[in-house]
Amino acid sequence: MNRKQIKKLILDAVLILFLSIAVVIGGMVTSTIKRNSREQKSYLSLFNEVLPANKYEKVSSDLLKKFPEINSVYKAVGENNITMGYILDIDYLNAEGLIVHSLVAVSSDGSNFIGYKKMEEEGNSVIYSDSELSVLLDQSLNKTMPIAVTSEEEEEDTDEEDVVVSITGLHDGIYYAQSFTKDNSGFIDYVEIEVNDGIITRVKWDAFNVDRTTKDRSEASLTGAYTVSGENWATQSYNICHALIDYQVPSKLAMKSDGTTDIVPGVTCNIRCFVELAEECIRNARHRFDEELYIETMMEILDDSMPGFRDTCLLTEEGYIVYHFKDMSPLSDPNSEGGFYPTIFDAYIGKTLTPESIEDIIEDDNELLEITTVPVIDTSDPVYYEVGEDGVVRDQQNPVLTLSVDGIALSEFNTFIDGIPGEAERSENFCSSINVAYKFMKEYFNWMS
Amino acid sequence: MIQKSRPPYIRSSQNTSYAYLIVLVALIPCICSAVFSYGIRAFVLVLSSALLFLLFDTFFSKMLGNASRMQRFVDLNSLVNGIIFGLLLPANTSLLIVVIGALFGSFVIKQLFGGLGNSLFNQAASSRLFVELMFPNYLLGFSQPFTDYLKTDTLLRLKPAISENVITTNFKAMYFAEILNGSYSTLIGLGSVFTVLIGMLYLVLRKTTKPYVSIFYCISAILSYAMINSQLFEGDILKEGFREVAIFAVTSGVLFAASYLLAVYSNVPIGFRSSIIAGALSGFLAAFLYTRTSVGITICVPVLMVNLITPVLEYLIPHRHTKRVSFTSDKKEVE
Repeated sequence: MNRKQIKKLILDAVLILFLSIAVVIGGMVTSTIKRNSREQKSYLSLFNEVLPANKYEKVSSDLLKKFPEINSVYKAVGENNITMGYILDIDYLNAEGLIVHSLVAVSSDGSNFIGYKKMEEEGNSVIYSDSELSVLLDQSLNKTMPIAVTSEEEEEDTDEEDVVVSITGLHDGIYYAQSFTKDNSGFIDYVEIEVNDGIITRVKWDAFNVDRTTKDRSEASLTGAYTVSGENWATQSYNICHALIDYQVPSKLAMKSDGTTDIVPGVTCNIRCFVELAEECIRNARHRFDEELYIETMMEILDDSMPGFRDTCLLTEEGYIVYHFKDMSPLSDPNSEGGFYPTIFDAYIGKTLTPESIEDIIEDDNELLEITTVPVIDTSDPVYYEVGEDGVVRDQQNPVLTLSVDGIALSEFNTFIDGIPGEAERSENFCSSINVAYKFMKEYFNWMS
Repeated sequence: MIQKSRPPYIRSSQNTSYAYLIVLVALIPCICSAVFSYGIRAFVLVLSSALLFLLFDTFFSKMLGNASRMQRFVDLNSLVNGIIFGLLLPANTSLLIVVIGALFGSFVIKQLFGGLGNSLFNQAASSRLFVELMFPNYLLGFSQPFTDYLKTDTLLRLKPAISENVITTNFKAMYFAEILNGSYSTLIGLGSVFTVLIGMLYLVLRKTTKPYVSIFYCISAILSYAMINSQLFEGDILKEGFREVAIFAVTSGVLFAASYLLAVYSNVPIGFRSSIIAGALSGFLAAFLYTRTSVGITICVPVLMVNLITPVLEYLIPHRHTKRVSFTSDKKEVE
């Protein structure tokens, strides 16, 4: 190989490189143009009926992962590239396992419901006739979202001052759950609940720090060492704990997807961790997995994973284990490849019970929690709610409001419709699918901002 | 007696290093296509594959005493095989697979056979087939081209790959122009047919080797596919049948294999008659495998079959540049 050959090769390489780049880019451009044109044709035929526009652009957002009901979202663009609105392809699954597959169009600011198209109905779909849809759309189209259905069903007479909502199946005792991970400040959240006569009578939400020279979060917030927006954290913790005692059910706190709630006065912080831990405590209470057993089980798990842990670990004054899981290997589930136990209780039953017994427990967990009303036991200044589970607002003239519908706080609702006469449930399904669009758009605009 | 020499076997002013450099230049279009289609992932896969093949070849050749054979020139063969191996991977393949493929190709296929120029099988095709058979779940990471250019997390993934886009074999749903430009998911080096053709054309123009096997391989594969796939004759043959055969030609990797695995420096027959036989058999095999297995197997198995039968064909059907020799008597020439 001589110098001439090498020069020739280098020249060849450069020429081929440029030629290749030109071919690849040319191919990309032509392919993209053709594909876009084809896509636009199919979009036009599909969406023109819902929201006419010059072109449609598919929206890609990580938020879609949080909304499994939403198949895809498209932005409708008109003349001069003005956004006309958004179209959401939604598969809403109702409580009976039936699907409402629809295209929902919302205005460009995400506030109004401006178009609807029912998609091809399959065997397991909620079926609306054209006349039914016409009734629903007459009532709801171009109205502000979210939308709820009102009903004229008579309420049972209940003496509101003598009842409080409760979950059945709670065993008396003290139950505890702590977070597996620490927050950015090194705090590990924990929730402790006390159950008496089947009712939650005491709730505590606080957090201890992995740095044991740092005070607990509530104490730190009172001294100003830990700050959150709004009231100090200790006050907010007190308020939310009190609210749980009032409502008895964490889901009734109407936590929004951003982790906040609008229905508990004075609480502006993120309550996701609290709600999750409270739910874990309630589950523990249903299975008599009390605080002592929880801590002992956690200690055993960590000691098995790290021999000698029991002798060297840090404990709080209350006896809680100061440990955050850097990885989930100590909780790895041998029956699930790469899986791990989501809670200490799951690890406990996984290690001590037979698969049949575990199935019974899971079955028990999967059963809907029965909500009952029971006499008030003790409180100085109570606020009582009769909580409906069907998401229907009773009697428009004098509504006894549910606290949330479709996970949206009732204070957010602006539009109430009558729905299809005598078909409250199917009307609610229609509204719920629109409310899915509302929830997504709300988060989408927050995310955009 | 057996006269032993390194490929290529055609008389030329080009030496081995020069021939490999030409192949490296011919691979530039496919590398471009891979990087433009799949971004950083593709670049890292190809680069790491080339470097690992070079590294392992150097290490094992010294360890096994094969290093002296390479003293006269840099082992560009390793780089070429490494790049081809990298181009034959899906975009979301883990680097773990690259390491395993390079180890196998370097140690088992190349150095155990005596090092550079002595291996019976094509190193890249063998390694690719090995990882396909041993870790099939790790080679499912097909990705949509022209998206996620900066994605790199899949490179360090130790779990089986997750396919974002399954390769479709529903030809009726595919658009021919987009197939040619590489708009559908496939192995990273196979995306754009035009770039493969540029590489192939360059190799032909530079006369690196005689492309007999490649030509007969392509012809045989296309004809065999048309005959095997009887559905072609059910509809409009002119419109749908030819379209489907054309799609087979560009999606099966036949062109890639013909360009880079059968046309150059590999252990392929160089005689005209033996090339026809090898090409016909391997083409038929590719067409047979296409609808039954993955594209990786469709590419590699026919190539390895050609490698395997080449010594037999060359012995049974001698051509004017070679002499048939007797294996039974030491110095008694048969012909």
